[in-house]
Amino acid sequence: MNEAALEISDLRFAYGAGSPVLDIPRLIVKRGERVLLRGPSGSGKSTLLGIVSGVLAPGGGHVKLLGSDLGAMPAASRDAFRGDHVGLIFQMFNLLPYLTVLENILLPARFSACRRDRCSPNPVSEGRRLMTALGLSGADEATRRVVNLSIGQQQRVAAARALLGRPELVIADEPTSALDSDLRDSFLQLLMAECNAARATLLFVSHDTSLGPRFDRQLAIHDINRVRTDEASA
Amino acid sequence: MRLFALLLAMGFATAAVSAPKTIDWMDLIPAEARNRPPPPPPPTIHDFLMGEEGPAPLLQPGDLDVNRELDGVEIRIPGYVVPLELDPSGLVTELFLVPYFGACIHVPPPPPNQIVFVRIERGMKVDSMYGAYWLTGRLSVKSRQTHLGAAAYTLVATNYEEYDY
Amino acid sequence: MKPLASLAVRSIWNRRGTATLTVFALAVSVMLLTGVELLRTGAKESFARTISGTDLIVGARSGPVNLLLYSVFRIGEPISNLSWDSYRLVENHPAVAWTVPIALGDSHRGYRVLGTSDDYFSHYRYGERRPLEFSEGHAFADEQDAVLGAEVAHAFGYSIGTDILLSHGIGEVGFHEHEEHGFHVVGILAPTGTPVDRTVHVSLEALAEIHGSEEMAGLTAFLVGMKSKDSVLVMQRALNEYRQEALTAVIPGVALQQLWQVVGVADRALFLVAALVVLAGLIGMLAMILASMGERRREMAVLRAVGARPVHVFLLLLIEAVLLAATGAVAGILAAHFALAGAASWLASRYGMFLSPQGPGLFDLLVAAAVILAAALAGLLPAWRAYRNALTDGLAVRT
Repeated sequence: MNEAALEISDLRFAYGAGSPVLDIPRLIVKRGERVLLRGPSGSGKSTLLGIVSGVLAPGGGHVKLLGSDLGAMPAASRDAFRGDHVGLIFQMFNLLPYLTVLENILLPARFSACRRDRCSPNPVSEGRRLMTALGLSGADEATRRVVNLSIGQQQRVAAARALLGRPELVIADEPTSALDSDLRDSFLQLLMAECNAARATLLFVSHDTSLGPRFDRQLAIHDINRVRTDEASA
Repeated sequence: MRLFALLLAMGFATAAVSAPKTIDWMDLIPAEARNRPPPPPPPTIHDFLMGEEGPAPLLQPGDLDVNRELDGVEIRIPGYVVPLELDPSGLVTELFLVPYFGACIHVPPPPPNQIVFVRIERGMKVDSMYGAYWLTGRLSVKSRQTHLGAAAYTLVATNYEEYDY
Repeated sequence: MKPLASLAVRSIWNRRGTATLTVFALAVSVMLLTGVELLRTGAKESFARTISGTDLIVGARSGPVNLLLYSVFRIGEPISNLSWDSYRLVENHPAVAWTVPIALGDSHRGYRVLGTSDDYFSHYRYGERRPLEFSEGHAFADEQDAVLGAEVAHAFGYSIGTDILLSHGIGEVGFHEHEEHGFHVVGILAPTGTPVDRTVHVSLEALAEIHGSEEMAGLTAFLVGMKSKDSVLVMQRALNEYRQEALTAVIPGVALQQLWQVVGVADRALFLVAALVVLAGLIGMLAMILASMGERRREMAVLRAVGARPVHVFLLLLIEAVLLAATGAVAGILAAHFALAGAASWLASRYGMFLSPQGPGLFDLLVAAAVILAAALAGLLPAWRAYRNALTDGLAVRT
């Protein structure tokens, strides 16, 4: 079962009428692979993630996610596809301040029937299981307001949310950049353990090269993107 | 096709039969009375209350003459409104319809055969007593002889519209 | 839709401080609008039903509306009294079916006293020709008898057999208490929703005696019923032209209509002002939602990440606007009804306005619907902005 989770060919993208940001002739990520994508700020990493997650439409070329061509779908279908098959973790501000920890984790189940149904026996118990797996269990943790959490805890909640309902692809955009090294290591360990258990593909973006050994493959954005940008112009 | 023509004809016939007859205030005075010589001037109004020999009748010969041909007829007549009774939401349900404005204030009131007592069950929205209205309904005619008068004309109105000058 | 609605509720709850202020502003404006309309219809109804079945009201020379106000609504005073000679002239006239004399000028503990004959109780009508009814007792038989309106009896807990004192003039407390002229309550009228409820009725002879007069009491006005309708206009003109005394005779329906025309202009203006206040409340709500947009861009990005489409973001904001407006509208409507129910007796005593208690009706539904619709329209702006942002932000949220 080593078909491609992600298959990109001749992808081109520019914002509006601006100069091209992405020109990627080829990129293949296999199912279950854990990939670290490195690169400086402004090099197009976030744009690539936007396209892979279906938020942005590719300008040219093909982007196939789990066998489906994102470019051939209308925007609504891409959004639904993302809801069903992709879990996202940002660097910060991952959570809705007016929902509790557990409610934040359960968000994907609100928007995707597919993710909801894959929770066994039900989303709430799956959510709690993920909390435990990511080191978030405490007596009243589930109902705590997210504003009372530390950044480390918030990132774990974000990870649990991304993993709810076993999406096939987990995309993390610099999730540990705001954490100190101890927290970062434990976060990564727990995240990877869950990804393995769920057999999810992990696409992890970071500028931190020291994380490399934990991943199956490391990619530098400049290795795949023909568009070069100076760091100074970021 | 023939059925259609028949229905059309029936429609017209019904409309013709039930269309209200637009009348004029002169029509309320019977034909024979219209051309009488002008009557002597009426006693001054205050003599109605107390004349030399007690209250004087205000009615002139001919004031009680009514046009019997209009009894039971559906008519449409324009006039000014003197409200008498209001319903709870302020619509006028009983009124006098008179041929000229100010019949209750500035000028002598019209004779009984030039006043129509109107009942309108659904109530009439009278925005201004300065404007005139068309009233449509069935007219009934009565003539009781007393020296003080009789309710000559009563209209049970079913519809009203503002009068466009 | 369901997930959006619950998110909208939680989102508002999270900002409940400012949300409460916005809802409050909207509620106050809706309360004003509803209240104005309630007063308008209530006042109209209250005036329209006060007197019925009387052909003419006659008083000393005065404007017709003024005569109506003091004789029937007990608001204001006449300039002078009528002579009894004029009264008898009309009373004895062959065209007249009945007359009822009225003398006003005294008070009992703030309620007005009406001197009249016992014909008042058989001829006075209100509403749609409803007669007065006694809930207890009967009309005056002896000179010292009094009949109370429903509210007077209720206010002081009077019942048949109670003795009361009258004071001269219409102040709340008189300093000429007619100690030796106590009155005996023999009848209490059923509630009518008219100024009758707030009146103490006594006989004319008794009033005359109070004022130390051998003659009859001063006559304020009298009601007239004609034997036949068509002599109404003639009698009215005759009285207005009467040379022996300056009189005014009005047809009650005409005077009520004139009164309403005066009031009508004011109440349309008031309604317009109230509508503008509601508009201001909605603008406040719009400002509040727009102000919160900045900090909510990240929130929108999170929702997009879990699979929400831009239209969901749009709807979320729209639902928030509608929820705020609906809460404000309902609160305002209920508040108006409660406030008016509470102020009912004050309105009755100061303005002779008897509002019948009624729950929210069609107009209130229309107001709520209009406010919600307007809020939805106002909410389109921030919703559209959020929609556009959601499209262009992608995953890189620019703050």
